[in-house]
Amino acid sequence: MSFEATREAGVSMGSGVVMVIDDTVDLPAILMRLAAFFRDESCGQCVPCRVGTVRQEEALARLVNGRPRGSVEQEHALLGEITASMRDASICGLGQTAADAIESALHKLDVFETGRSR
Amino acid sequence: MSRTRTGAPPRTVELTLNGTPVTAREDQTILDVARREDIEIPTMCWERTLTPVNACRVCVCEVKGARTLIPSCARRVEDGMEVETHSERVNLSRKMVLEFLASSVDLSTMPNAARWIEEYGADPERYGPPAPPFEAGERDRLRAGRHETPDGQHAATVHQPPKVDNELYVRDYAKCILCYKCVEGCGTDWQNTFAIAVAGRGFDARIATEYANPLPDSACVYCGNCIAVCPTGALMFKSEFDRRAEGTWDVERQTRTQTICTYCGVGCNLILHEQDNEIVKVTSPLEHPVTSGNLCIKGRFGFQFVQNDRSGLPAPIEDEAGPEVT
Repeated sequence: MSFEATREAGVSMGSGVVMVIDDTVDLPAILMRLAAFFRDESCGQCVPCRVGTVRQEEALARLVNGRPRGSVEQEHALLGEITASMRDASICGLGQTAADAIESALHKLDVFETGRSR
Repeated sequence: MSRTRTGAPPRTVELTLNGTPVTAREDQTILDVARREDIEIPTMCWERTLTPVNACRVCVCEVKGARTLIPSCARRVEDGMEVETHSERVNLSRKMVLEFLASSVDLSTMPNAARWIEEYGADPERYGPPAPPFEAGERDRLRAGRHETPDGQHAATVHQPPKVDNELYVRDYAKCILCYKCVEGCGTDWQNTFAIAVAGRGFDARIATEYANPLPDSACVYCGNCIAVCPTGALMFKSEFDRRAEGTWDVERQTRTQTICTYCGVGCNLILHEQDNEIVKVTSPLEHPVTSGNLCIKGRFGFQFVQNDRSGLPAPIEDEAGPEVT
């Protein structure tokens, strides 16, 4: 397992910590915790991370509470654009990876059940 | 900032800008070259008289081979660089930066903001209605690393009442995009007063005086050089702020007169902005070799004597009416 190989597979290894989570764990709650973490730890210097981490947590909260703006698919599209801009335009690695775990949970595990996991 | 160059002259480099080969000096930034080629790249935190902080990220461009997008305001050109200033990736990030700011900050007095929002198809409304504004001083008391879990039905903002604590200028931080320009102008780039800095972290970050003291109790020397570089109108002459509040601020009716400050021998150029035969604001051209846009309190705010209304003062004492001296 290497950073290059995990990137190749479309997954993120963060700082290299591996945490094993089984299917009894409340995944949406973990995602909310992750989103809150990145919002709290953002230094606030650049716009994509300072505001992006807030908008990401808000969108995730709507999904977790079952009250999306529009459809779940629309929220996924919104989160996709937030992710892309944070990854591409943030100054440092915190903003660039702030959406990685959430993105893979949404798309690979289809946590909010759009029936379109890949 | 203008600095005297020493050593070898800059080399010429060849790069590709949106597919077109161009040449440039190696000390130029991507933004410099794009502007020379008449390509508009929006900027918010960049100013020609300040060190780039590349914080707003609205000027990002795609450079071939780079993993992330590159702030064109700060990145120097290199030989063989292939730059795209308006690729799909770039436009998406610019749209998101504009959306992020427009959905959390009041951009109503920021020149170009509305045009860029339209050009890049930003839709600040899609984050939901704004959350209720903060009370005065509330944001100054926020502690780093903690926040209430949102329900996502309202978009968090920095809306708050303006800070009006002196007669010269107003700090309306509901309009602050945290571009760092005021901090730089007050600090090492120009004034070296260090009256303000960024306090707090993340979305709670804000510009503050020490201990969030009111300006009269802070280190501020009222040079107004922060106002001169503020891109959003968050920092504003009180004379402008009051007229805007009354609805009488009208740039169309204003004239600009360039003159030289009479207070000392430095020779600072002033531009007097007048409306209804009154001076309402004083600026200095950013490109002026003496000031680079900076002034001191006398040039910036010492215009009141020109237009003192003496009608309310007692009439001068006439010799005849004086007491008889025995």
